[in-house]
Amino acid sequence: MRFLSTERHPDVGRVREAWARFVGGDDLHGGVHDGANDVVRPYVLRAWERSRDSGCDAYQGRAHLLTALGTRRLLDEQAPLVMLGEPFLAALSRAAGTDRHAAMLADANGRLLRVVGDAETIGDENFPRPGALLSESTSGANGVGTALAEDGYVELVGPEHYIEGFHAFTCQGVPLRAPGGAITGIVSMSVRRLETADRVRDILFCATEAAECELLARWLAAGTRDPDEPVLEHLRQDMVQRIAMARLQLEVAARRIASGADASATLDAAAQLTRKFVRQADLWRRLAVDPVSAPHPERLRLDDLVADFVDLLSTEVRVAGITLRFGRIDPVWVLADPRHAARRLLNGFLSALQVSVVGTVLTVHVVRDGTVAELRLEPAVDAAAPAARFPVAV
Amino acid sequence: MDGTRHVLVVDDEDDFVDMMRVLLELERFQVSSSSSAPSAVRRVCDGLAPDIVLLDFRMPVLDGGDALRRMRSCGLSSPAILVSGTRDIRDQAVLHGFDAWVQKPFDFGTLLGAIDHCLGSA
Repeated sequence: MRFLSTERHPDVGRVREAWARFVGGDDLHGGVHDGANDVVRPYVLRAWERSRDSGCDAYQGRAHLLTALGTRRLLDEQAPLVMLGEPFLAALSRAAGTDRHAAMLADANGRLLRVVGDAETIGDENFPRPGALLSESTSGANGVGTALAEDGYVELVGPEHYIEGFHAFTCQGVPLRAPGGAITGIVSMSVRRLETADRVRDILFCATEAAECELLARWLAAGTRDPDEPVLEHLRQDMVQRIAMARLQLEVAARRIASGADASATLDAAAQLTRKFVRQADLWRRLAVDPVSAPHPERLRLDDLVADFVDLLSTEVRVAGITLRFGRIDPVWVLADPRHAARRLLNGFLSALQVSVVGTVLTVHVVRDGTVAELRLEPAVDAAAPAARFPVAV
Repeated sequence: MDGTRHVLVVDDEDDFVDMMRVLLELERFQVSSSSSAPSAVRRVCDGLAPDIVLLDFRMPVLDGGDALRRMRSCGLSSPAILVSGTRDIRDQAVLHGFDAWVQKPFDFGTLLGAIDHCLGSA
């Protein structure tokens, strides 16, 4: 996910002129450039073109809506996503403070599922509500539909929206991705003031990443091969702890942003936690979810894998009253099946922990010795006996 | 007595405890905290009298259930909430005599609701 806090904003007056010409039938080719700077940002022009090609009416008063029955069915069908998104929308709304705003969650088709905001904004009968169709083909360029079409973060300031009725807002949208990378929804923030949009941008990214982690955690929990294996369940709980902390940090950041304070350090910490979670989840997936299959050796960086294990096991080790320290770490590529390698490293660490008494300091070595690389753990086990051994990749 | 409620937060993750402190203090709670269960038990046995205790389950030396049992044996009568990521949190909470449980990761509003509920019925 890119952080775009320093991105410049468009010249709203000139965009408004370009918009009027465009919806009037001008294709703008050759007329929208001002020196090196685009009057209309390239992704916005693409969105306008898609909007016009799909027959969207730039002067429609508001977004089209599903029927009441259709909306009810949609919300029933997407209830897990709505529940997952709820705390993050609440944090975004809190960050906007008393400014007019709406934090929104839409599904992968641009159908609006949930709106949280100030009473005036969400009470406006023309403002999109659950069941609103916000894909570009029905609602033109907007924070939801354009994020879907562009497959990434977008910001639309005032007249960058295709429908005139949305010109009062600055909207941002970020795709919410399921494990595997497919878009499962859009998290969007609409505000009246450009300064508010700037203020909530980083927390919008951060909240979306945290929501993706929760999607990943649910997917891992549902797909676990052997949930009864105690150590794997412990490690899963430890990963959940990271998400719990990230959520609290978002909550703290939201309150700081709302009060005008700097929340960048808190958001950075939350972003680091979510990234750490993603790495740990990848490792845990290999141990607990991926099916057992014939080995398919790949080039793996053993020292990185061991570092990930030390991170994943940090709470387990602390609970056991043992300290892990890094010793000699040779950077080394090995040839091994990722799942088999993960299992062998886990067994190596667990064996060492089992024979270690409370208060032990275990030193972790990754040593290349000729054509073989080894994980060694001392002093709880004989340093001469490697905990796991792999052929070095050439 | 100014009506401020006193919460004791016990979790072995320092960062988690720090964030909880910030948020609970913003909600006008007086917060005591510990990242060590034995230390928290010692403080309660030495006379710390929180209105409510929030305990993690998996912690070094003492788990949340054992910590609560020892606090109770020192006379703690305040409600206690189990705050954990364990799958069987309900069973663990019931088994160890917690008054409520909140599964990690949680919405802070949900935790506040559980605290209010426990304090209201305490």
